[in-house]
Amino acid sequence: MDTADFSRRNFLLQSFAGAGSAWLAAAWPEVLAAQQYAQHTVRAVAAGVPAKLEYLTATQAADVEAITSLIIPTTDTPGAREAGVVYFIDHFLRTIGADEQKPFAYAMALVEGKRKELFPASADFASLTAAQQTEILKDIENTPAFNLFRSFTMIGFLGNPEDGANRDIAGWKLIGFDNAPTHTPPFGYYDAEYAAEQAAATKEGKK
Amino acid sequence: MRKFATSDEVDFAIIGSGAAGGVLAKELSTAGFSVVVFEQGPYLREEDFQHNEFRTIFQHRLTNNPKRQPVTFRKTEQDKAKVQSTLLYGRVVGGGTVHFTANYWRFHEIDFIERSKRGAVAGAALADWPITYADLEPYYTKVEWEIGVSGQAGVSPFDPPRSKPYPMPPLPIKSTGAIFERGARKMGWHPFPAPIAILSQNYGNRAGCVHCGYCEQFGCEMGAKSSTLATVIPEAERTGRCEIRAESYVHEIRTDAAGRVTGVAYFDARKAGNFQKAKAAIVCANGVETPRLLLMSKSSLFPQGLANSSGLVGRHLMFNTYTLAYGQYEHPLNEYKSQTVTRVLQDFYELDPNLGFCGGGGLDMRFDMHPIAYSLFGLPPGAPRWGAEYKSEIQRNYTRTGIVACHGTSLPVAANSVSLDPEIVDEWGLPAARITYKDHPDDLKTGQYLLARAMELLDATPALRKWSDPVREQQFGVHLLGTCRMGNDPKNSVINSDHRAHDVPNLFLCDGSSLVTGGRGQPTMTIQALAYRAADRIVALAKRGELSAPARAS
Repeated sequence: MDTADFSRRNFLLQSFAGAGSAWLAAAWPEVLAAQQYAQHTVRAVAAGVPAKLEYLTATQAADVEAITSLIIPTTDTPGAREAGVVYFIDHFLRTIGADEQKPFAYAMALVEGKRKELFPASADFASLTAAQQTEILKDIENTPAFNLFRSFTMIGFLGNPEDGANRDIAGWKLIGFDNAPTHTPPFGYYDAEYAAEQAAATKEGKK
Repeated sequence: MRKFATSDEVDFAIIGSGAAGGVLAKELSTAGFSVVVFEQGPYLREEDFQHNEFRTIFQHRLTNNPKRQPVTFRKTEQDKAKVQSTLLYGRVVGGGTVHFTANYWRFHEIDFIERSKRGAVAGAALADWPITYADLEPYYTKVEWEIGVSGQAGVSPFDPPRSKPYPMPPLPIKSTGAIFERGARKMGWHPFPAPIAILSQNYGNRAGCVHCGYCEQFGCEMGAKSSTLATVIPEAERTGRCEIRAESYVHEIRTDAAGRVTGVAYFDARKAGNFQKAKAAIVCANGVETPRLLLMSKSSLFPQGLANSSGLVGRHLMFNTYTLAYGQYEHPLNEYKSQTVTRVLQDFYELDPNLGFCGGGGLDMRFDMHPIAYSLFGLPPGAPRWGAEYKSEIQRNYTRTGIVACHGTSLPVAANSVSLDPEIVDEWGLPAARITYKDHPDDLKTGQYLLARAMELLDATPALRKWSDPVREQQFGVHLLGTCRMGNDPKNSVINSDHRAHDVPNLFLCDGSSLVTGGRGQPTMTIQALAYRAADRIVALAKRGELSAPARAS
């Protein structure tokens, strides 16, 4: 999909069109289930229990984690791996994103095909070197399949923790987003500066 | 809340609970009439609104879901329409006022008389309104005081005349507002505090905004946004004469042998068919759903669709032009906090005819992308899309990006229209809306002109980097306007200045479809002022017994 074909507002409806889908509105029971799941996951992770896979096989999960970690790598700050993006995708595909199973399978098959073409001796994507993995993604980076991985990764990295995304709010911390329920002015640098100037001008006027 | 039986003949069936439907429900029930309001979407309460970008936006919690209600699109009547996400509208009790940005610009005098002032424009069906700004002014004031609008009168020299100041001061300035104001002043332009339908302080029994930042595209969980859900709908319910019937999808307005409305047929939440008897109907379903409903309500008496003897139902669709220029700054703006827009300018509201095209608009500055949307769609062209550089780009610039948004005219073009798709149906088996739309060449020139001003403005600010989206023909509408236009001549319009259908004496239409011109990109205030005015006219007609007059021969 060429997102540049659409104005910015269109992303609401168009963003996943190229992957053959738009999100289906979830029924409330599924959302409640997702919330319970998320709370469970948060507790399990806090207790040091590894999260369980619900939809992906262990091999697929390793591949997905490798792909998401190339999109948002671990640097001096946490990446997709630390944010638990693969667990979000896994749960998502079984629940509210079940509609995405087909496009997802297509995208995985595309990666598999490329791997076999470029590195026929390899066993799976996850066991390739970082350079080899990058080569594969570069080869498909302008396809709807890659856009699907990128969208899933960013929803898992910057979505809400109660949906199983963005573990330890790693994504929000990275971009400087403070999800506090309320804020007070000044909000940013330039309005603070503006307020200071207004105050100084008022003071000047009173002299 | 009062409940009516479908066999009760209520005074008014109102279809749609948004900007206009909510106001009419309150005004008519307060005046003593019985009212049932039909809303396609669910009745969500403040506690249902979540600080959750994925669920709210990507799962269409507050808006139409294109999977359940597909829409088809084509550029011209010669093309075959294809299923495409073409429009966005509020689909909850409160309609679009639940998720809107709440920019509450009044229209100016020119919007009502542009045809006579500018003369004909080739390829456009530009027309004067049958009412003027002066007729609507008391109702603009009424909107500001009844629902609560924050703003500051007397700052912009381009403001139309007003009879009363705003009921409360503007909301606190944000960094985009500060950057915009300084840049605009350097250019010699006239920025002013944005008029916004969000409470800057406590008003009546509602509390002022706490700046949570989940505003545009979200429902306000504390009722500070002046949606009809937070304002007039509870008042309508308190009269004991108004029922809000949610998850009720009206698909036909029925008429008798005399051509008078007898009631409305609708699907309930379980998709079961029902019929509500009513003495009169008021359609406030938006500029696409209103004409679609009329076209679906055809009968032997109304073979072209209800109230469509003119053939104009669905025609003259206007989206407003919308172009964007982006800037990145050295220091954090933190635009994710508080409501969206704090400064506006209208120096280009009425462009010089010597430019060779007809149009105009206004500018504001904002940054209305939440984290996921920003990461996918907010970076400059050519920026990395994945990997370590992409990561550092979003790390640095999520809090440091601002967008100058240009809101402009769309000229009314007869071919731009809503019709019924001959093949595609929605989840209820009803024909999909088919949108035909191609911007008038002047609209693209207006968009380009405003975008050039936006880039000049960014030049006058300390932006480290700036870019713009190219101006293109629109294929997506959020403002749905003009499709059942108001006028004095039944041959050239669908409703009269009382919002009464020329062809059906007990049928009224009031929403974006009523507009004769589309203004400069912020139509909701005008839709709501029209609704207050329509309520006065309808009450007067009903009290004189004129709603039982016979139908006009069509």
